[in-house]
Amino acid sequence: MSFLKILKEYDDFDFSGYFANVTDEMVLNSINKKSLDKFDFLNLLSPRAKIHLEKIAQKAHEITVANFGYTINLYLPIYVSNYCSSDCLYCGFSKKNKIPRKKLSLEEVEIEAREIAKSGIKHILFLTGESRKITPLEYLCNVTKILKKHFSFVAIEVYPMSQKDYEVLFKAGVDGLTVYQEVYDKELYKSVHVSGEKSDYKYRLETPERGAKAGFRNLNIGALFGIGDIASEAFFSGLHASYLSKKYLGCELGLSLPRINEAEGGFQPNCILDDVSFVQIMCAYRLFLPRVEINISTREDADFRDNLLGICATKFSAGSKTEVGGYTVAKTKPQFEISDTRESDEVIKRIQELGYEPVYKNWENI
Amino acid sequence: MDILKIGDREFSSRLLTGTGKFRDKNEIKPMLKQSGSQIITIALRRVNLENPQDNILNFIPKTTTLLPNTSGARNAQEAVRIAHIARDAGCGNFVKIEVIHDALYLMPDNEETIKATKILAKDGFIVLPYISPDIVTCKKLEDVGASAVMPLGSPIGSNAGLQTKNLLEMIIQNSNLPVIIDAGIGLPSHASMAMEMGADAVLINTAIATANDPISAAIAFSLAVKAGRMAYLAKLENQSRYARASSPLTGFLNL
Amino acid sequence: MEIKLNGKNKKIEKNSTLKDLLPTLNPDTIVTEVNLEIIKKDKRKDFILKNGDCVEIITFMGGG
Ligand code: SF4
Repeated sequence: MSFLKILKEYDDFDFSGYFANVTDEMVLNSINKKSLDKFDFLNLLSPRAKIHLEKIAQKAHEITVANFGYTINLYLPIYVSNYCSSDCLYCGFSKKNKIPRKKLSLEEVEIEAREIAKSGIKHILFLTGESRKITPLEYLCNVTKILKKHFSFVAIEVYPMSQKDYEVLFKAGVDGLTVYQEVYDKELYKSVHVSGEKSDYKYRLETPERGAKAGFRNLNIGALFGIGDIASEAFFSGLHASYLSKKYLGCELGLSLPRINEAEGGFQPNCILDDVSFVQIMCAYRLFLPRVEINISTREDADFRDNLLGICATKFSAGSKTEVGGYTVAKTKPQFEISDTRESDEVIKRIQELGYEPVYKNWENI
Repeated sequence: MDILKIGDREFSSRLLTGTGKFRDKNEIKPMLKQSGSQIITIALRRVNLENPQDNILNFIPKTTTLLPNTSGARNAQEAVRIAHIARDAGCGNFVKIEVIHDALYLMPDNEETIKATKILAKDGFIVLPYISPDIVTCKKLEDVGASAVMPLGSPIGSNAGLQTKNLLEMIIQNSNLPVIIDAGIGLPSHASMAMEMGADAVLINTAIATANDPISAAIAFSLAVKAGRMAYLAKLENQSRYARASSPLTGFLNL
Repeated sequence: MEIKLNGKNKKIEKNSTLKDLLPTLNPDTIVTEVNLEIIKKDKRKDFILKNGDCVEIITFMGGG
C-alpha cells in the first residue's frame, strides 16, 4: 500500500474529536508501552499529554540512550545554489523574491568544502533551491564527487527526482536524501506551493520512496511547522517515517522539526509551534519510533538545542551557514535565519560538557 | 559488597537451592560448595517406620542455612504446626510457608499463606511465603511481617521459566521486601532474566536436582544469577515500566 | 492398649514410654509429637503413653 493511500484513510478523521477523548490514563498507558501503535502516538500528541511532558521526556531519554547511547551525530549544510523555479510562500529562495542569486562554481565548491572539512565533521548535506535548469543532474553529480573527497557521508536536499536520476547520484556518491513534505494537508499544501514543480503534492510525497529504491541508506523527512494543524502534521510525519522504515528496512529514517522562522518574503505563519509543543512532538516521535534519528538544525537557538540533546535529539548541525558560499566565498541572503550562531567547535565543546560524544564520522560507504 | 538481607541474616549468594528429587543425596554437599548457595530448603515428613531412610540433614553442611518448608500443609494451621516442629527440631527460625490444596496445578493458597505468615512472624519466625505472583498479596504479607516474598515463575516443577513475568515485574518494582523467584525456573537463562529484572534472589531445586550432572547445573545457575545481578546493577535493563525520576528534562520550558 | 502412630493404630504395652517406640531410630534426627505437642528429645524416656494417644514421628527429607 502506498503512503498516499494510508493518508487517505485519515481524510475524514476527526483529530480534535479524538483528542477530546484522550484521558490521563490513556497517555500514561501509551508512555509505558514497549511498542506503540498509531493511537498511542496520537495520545502522546494530544493536548492532554502536555501535562505529562516530563514523564514523556524521561521515557524518550531512556529509549534514546538505549538505542544511541550518549552520542550525537554532527553534520554541516553547504548551500551551493539559491536559484529556484518554485514559489513557496514561506521561503526566502522563492522565485518571486528579488534577491541576489548565486550558484557556486565547482572551484568554489572545492574551496567551501575544504573550509568546512576543517571542522573535522565528515557528514555533509548539500542544498540547492529547486531549479532543475540551473542545477541539473550533471552539476549535482560533480558537486557530489568533490564533496566525497572531503566527506564520508553526503546527503542531498534538492528538487525531487526520478528513481533513475537518484540512481545516478547514488553512483556518484550520495548516501542520503532529505526531502520535507512541508505540509501533509493537501489543501494547505496547494495554498502555499503556488507554482512550479513543488506544487505537485503526490510527486513530492513519494520522493523518499524513490530515493530508498535507488539505494540511499538515509532518508530524512518532516513537516514544516507553522502552516498546517500542528498535531496532525506531526502525526502524519511520524506515520510517514514509520511506513518508510517498515518498507525499507535497510534505510535509516530521520525526522526533522523545522518551524517557520523569520524569512524573506514576509510570510505570516498560520500558527506557531511553541517550545513546549516542539518538545512534545520530538518526544512523541521518539516513543513511537525508537530508532529514528531526530535532527535539530541551527534554526533553533543554542540553549534550546543543548536542552534537546539531553532529551532525545540525535543529530545536530553545528556552525552552519545558510547562505550560498557562506563559509568562504560569497555573501548572499540566507534561506532562513539561523538562531544558534555558535561556531562548530563551540557547539562540540558544549556537547562534550553535557556528557555526550560528538560523532564526526558515522558512515563511510566502501 | 552486594548483600542479600533476609530478616536479620546476611548472605552473599543470591542462589537458593533445594534438597528435593536428588538421585544421590551425596551430591548435595558438592552442589552447595560449587554453587556457593548458602540457603537450602528441606521438607518434613512422618518417618516411614517399616523402612526408615537416612535423614536429609546428614547430607547438608552445618554452615548452610536451613529453610524448612511447610509442604504438605493444606491450610494455615497445618503450616504453623509444621513450622514449629521444624524450629523445635533445631532447624533455626527460617521457614518457607507453602500451603497447597490444589492437587492439579499445585498452586499455593495465598489467603491461607497470609494467615500463617501473620501467626509465625509474631512467633519470631523469619517467614518466606511462597505465593502466586500477586502484588496485592505481597503488600499484605509486608503488613503481617513477612521477611521476603517468594512468587512463582511458573508452576512447581514445570521448568517453564518466567511465565508470570509481567506480574513479577510489578512485584519487584513495588516490593519493600526481598523478592525471591521460586518455582518454574528451568534454565540458567530464566534465572538470569529474573535477576536482570531486579529479583533479589532465585530458588532452584528441580532443575538442578534432576539434571544429568547436578553439580555442573548448580554452577551454571550460580553464574547465571551473578550475571543477571550484575546486569541489573549496571542498569542494563532500560525498559523499566515507569520513567525514572532523575533530574527534570523539561525544566527549561518553565511548564 | 492402643495408640495412633503416624496415622496407624498400634497396640503397645501399658506404661510404655515414648522412647520405647523408637528402638531403631536415631533419636537425634527425628521430632516426636504427641497429641500435637512436641516432646523434646530428653523428655522421651520419661514420657508415658496413654491409651488413644496420637503420636507422630517426623524426620527431614528432601524438598524444594
Ligand atoms: S522551499 Fe524550496 S522550492 Fe520552495 S521556494 Fe524555497 S527553495 Fe524553492
